[in-house]
Amino acid sequence: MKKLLLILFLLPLCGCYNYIELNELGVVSLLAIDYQDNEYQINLEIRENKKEEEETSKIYKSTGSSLDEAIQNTGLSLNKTLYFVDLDILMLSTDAINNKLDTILDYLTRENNVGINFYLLVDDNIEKTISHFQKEKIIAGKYLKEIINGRFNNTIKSKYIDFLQTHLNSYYDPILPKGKLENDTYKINSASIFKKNKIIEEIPFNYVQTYNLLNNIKSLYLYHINYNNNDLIYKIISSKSKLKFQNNKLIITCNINGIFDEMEKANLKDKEEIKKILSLLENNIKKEITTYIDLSISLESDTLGIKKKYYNETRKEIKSLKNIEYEIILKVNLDRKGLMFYSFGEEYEKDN
Amino acid sequence: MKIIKEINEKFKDTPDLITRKIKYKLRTVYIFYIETICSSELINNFILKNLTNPNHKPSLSNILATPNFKNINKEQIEFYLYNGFTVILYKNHIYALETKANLDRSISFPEIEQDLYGAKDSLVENYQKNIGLIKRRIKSAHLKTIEYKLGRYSKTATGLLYIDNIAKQELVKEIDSKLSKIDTDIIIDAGSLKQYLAKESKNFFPPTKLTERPDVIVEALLEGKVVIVLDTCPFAIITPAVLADFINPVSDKYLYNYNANNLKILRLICFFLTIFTPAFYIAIITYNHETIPATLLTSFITQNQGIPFPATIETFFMLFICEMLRESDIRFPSNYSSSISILGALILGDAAVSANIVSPIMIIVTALTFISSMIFSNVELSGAIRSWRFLSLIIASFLGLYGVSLSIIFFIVNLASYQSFNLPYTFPVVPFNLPYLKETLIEGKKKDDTKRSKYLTNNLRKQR
Repeated sequence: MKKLLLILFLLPLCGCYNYIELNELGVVSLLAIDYQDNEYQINLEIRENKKEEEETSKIYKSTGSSLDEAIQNTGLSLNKTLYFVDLDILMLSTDAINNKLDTILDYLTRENNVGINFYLLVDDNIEKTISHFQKEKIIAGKYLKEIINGRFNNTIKSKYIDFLQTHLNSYYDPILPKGKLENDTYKINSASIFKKNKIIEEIPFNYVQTYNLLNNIKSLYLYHINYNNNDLIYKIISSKSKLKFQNNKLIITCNINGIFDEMEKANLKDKEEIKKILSLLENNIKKEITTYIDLSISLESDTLGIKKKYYNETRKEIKSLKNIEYEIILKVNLDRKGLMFYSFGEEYEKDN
Repeated sequence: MKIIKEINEKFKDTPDLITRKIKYKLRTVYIFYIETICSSELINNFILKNLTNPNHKPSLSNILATPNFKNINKEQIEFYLYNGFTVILYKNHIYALETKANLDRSISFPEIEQDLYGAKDSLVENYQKNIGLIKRRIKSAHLKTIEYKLGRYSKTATGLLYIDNIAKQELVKEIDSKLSKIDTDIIIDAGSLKQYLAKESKNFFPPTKLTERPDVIVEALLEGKVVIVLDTCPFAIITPAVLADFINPVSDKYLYNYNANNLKILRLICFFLTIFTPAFYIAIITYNHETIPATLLTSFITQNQGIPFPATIETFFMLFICEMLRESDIRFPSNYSSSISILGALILGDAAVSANIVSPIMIIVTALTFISSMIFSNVELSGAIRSWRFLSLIIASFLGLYGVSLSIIFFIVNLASYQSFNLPYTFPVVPFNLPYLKETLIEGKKKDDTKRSKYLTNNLRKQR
């Protein structure tokens, strides 16, 4: 009897402190942080759920001299407990990143109520973006996460935990996707590259594509070439890239296999023509890679981890990328109409 | 005669005691029988007709041709009269002849332990018939029976059955000594008898198994267990019984081992589901929301909109209603069962959800809990499961998933520290015993089933 009473009295004393009913949860989908005039400006998108209605969201804005204060001010106008575990997107302005990145990351890492699987996005016009999504009645966080995650979308897929690891690593400079409104459509087709934990440059889509190609990210890669006044689009089916230092020289090897999107525009039965096209393609892609590497070297932004690879090879550290010599070994292959067509039978063979 | 006076005195206010006097060979034969439990037809055909037949044979025992004819003493008169015997007094001899009326029902289908395969006969309230059903299946002189008359007033015929070259003598002696020590007014059901056998324990799980199926009894006897059969009770007690015995019906042996094993896995999953599902639901809904994927969480939040009660109260309410429904289903006459089903469906279904008293997900959780509990037909096991369900629910309401894991640990420790007649309750998992594991939790091929468990018997070999 004594044991039973002891347990009955201990249970309420030991438990209950973190009891939250489902109705009291305010699930945050998007957290946008800007830093202006020595003040944090945050926008929180909280999912609203009503029975027999479509899921919607509501934006709460507030400011504060610290992130905690800003979030507290939001909480004071909200009848729910903020729940960041299912956060989809953390949107940061360039100012917030350049001035307060460490503070923001420290807050998010220490807070128990924050998950680690959300994506980061840079946006320099947060207010306009938020208004756009509010007008469209779209849940911004979910929508943006789906764009970043899209199989065919060649964006920088930067999860918080990966970004944190890169940020804390002295050998790497991070890269984050950047989005903006273009003609009333929100696009994430560029990226912001870092140097010493500050954003130094915004790179366009083709550089983003090159970065993903060199990092073996599975996505949709399309390269345009002009051959005989025909705009051919080369689609990469498979690729394998490797960056390695050999005799103090950075060797970038890249094996690419792909097809042409519109096969009728080229005479693929002529081997000479194919060689010419492939050579043109190789030059094109090599140029893209060279431009990206040159940019990285000129800006001293080590997004590819070149310093780490040098250290792995030589056990010495390099302070600057500027003296790095590199060579690109690129091999582009063309997958012609394959066995799939032959499997249709003799008729195809007769015609072709 | 003095003895007649004593009988009349003893049965003074017993209007159904019939006394007849018949002249036989110039002497009077006194016949006593209790009308309500004796068969008038048998008495008439085998006793009265023969006694009044002028062409009678010289000896009384030759003319009274009933199969059960005993010479008794005056102390046994009451016992035999109340057991449906006719008592005859003649020449200072007292005879008892069996003329029992058929007051019990015929052998029918098992009501509680139903199955698709297996025999469809079940025990009845007649001790002899029950023993007969068992002896139809075990035709061996090794099947021994020790008989008792339990209860000062009921003197219920009880038999302790065992196979002498399989069952351990220590177990037989232990049960024998317990049965011999029972001194109470009345024992008329196996349910009350089993409480005298088990050691005092605060464990919810039963150490003995009640069964109404003769095939279950026979399988248990052949494993080295001991069975107690009672008169006026359609259930027999099997000891010792461990958790694995309750989870697996004997009809698994009538299936191919692959199919049987799939069903065993299902039952094992259902066993844990029925105990821990409500607790797990409460824990993730009120404390550990991070375990729920985002889309599911928003769906739960939407469903919980407008529900005035906390999730814990909602769960207790639903479980309580379901238990009430289950209990009323058992007690109420079957003519009303369809009304109860409709009422239950209305309360627990659409009406409760429409009235915003409970959320739809709560209905699903409750349904899952109760459907998985219906796999276990044993009443004592269901009671134990119910107790553990509420206990783990209370702990989870205070401590979340940590509480669920604590209750699982507590549950396992409780089971592991419990014994049924010196056999650990988690047998044959712990202590591990492959032959018995193959009997219960994993069905092996019949030709590989060659051994018995060394914990239950010293006679290990089954097949030659």
